Amino acid sequence: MDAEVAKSDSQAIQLKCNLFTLTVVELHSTNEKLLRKELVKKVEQAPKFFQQTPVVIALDKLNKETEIDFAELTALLREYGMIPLAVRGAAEKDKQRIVEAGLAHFNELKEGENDKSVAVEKPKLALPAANDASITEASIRPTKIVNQRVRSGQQVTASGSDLIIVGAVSEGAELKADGNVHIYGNLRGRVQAGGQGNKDARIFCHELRAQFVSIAGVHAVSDSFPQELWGQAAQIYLSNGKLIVEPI
Amino acid sequence: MAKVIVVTSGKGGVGKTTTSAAFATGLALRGRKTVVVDFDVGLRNLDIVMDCERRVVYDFINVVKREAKLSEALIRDKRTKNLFILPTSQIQDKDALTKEGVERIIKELRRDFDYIVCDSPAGIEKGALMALYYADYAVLVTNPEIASVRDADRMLGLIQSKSRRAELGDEPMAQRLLITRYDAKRASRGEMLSVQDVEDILAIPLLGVIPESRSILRASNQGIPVILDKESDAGQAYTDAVARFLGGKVEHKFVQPSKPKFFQKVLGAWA
Ligand SMILES: Nc1ncnc2c1ncn2[C@@H]1O[C@H](COP(=O)(O)OP(=O)(O)OP(=O)(O)O)[C@@H](O)[C@H]1O
Ligand SMILES: [Mg+2]
Repeated sequence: MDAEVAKSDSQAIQLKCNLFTLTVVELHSTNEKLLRKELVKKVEQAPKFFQQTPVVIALDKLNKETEIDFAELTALLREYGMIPLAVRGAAEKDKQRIVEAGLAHFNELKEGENDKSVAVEKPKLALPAANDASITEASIRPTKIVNQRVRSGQQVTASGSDLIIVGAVSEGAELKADGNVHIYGNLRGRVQAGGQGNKDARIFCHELRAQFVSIAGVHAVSDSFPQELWGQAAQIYLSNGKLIVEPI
Repeated sequence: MAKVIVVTSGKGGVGKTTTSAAFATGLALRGRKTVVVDFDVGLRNLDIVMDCERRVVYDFINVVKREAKLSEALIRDKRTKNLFILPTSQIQDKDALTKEGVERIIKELRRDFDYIVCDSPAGIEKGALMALYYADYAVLVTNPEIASVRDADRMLGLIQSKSRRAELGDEPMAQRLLITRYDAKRASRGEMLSVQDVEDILAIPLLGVIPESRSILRASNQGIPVILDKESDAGQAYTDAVARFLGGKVEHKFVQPSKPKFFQKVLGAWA
């Protein structure tokens, strides 16, 4: 085991940001009896739903002064098959006790934000600071869209995002993106996708006549494309370290 | 409203000066008061093609440097009414052009002329950028071969970003394609790009196709813009291009290889 630890300066953990849809249990009361009564009813209606369902407790509808025993509340929900993960809409005074109860607390919703874009506080794992970088890398930046053809000598870069060109890319033009590259037109120029070593990035184009393509540094020049796909709609991706060109 | 037209290409020797002379003459023949300005500082080919080199006293650069008045540098064309030439210097180089100087001259020309045709130098450096900067309309001259088409594409990119219209966020410069030295027969054999190929790559509207023609060399040796040679194919093609520029609908000639006109001959016999 120690040998494994010693050599594993590489990754045993990779942090990624993901968006999940979670069920929110919105409390309108803290009366235990009342809560039990309603939970029984809900479980009867949809028993499947209450098997190991991760939930977020929402306090938005409660008076901020209300005293809540979070340990008890958690136990209650667990009794009915739910797995509470976090609390939303907690008052400042409650935050310490929420953490003590083994829950996370979400920040207050800002005005204009809907439930779909809840800001999650970064998980406080004891990991070296360097890993913070991969969290920001994985977060989604808006796709860069260029609404005209890219001509010879012009360069378009999209750092940290996908790139969409609505038009052709001339010979002698260059595209660089950390994400995927979509070209709704003729591709005659040079394209680099997966800039930060992202091996899952792909290139899509309406007509493949590229001078040069590369994904995460693996590249090919026009001579090496399959003859039968020349001028065809195609996608290019990496599989086992090799570039695959495929019709679409 | 006066219009500034830049005749540009990126690549050298494709026919910009020939086109500038023909186009300016064509506009003047159609009654538009026109001046053709030579931006190719240091080379000065335009006045040879226009046969006015022996009449140059002051030039474009003298006016930029305020050593002469614009009216002193403008040369009235001998043959064509409404046509003037602003020749350039053979001594100075392109650094003598300043944005302020060019702006002042273009402004002054706009007051007096309907059309200002700017003959751009080759390349994508200062001289070429200066020639296109104030333009409202670009004529992209290209030969039917890859290098020339690629440079034209590059030029279109520069027009998109480096022109005054682009910098001010005004309506973009109008851009038209003029394919010169076209040999329909060789194109049909695949030895050159076809008109269709060039249009596909550059994706701007086609203003005209000028055939490869011996009449061009003859004309420039005599200092007569080829458009005045009514018999020549290239002269006709330029006349049509000017007509299209002014809004006329004229079919493109010289795009297909000329076939032996069997049916025409037969019909001719009946006529
Ligand atoms: N349609 C044509 N047929 C035959 N020869 C042509 C044609 N057009 C231009 N030429 C010849 O090509 C040569 C270059 O033409 P021109 O000087 O007009 O090009 P240019 O683009 O102005 O060149 P530069 O970049 O050096 O300014 C000249 O010798 C000219 O006679
Ligand atoms: Mg020239």
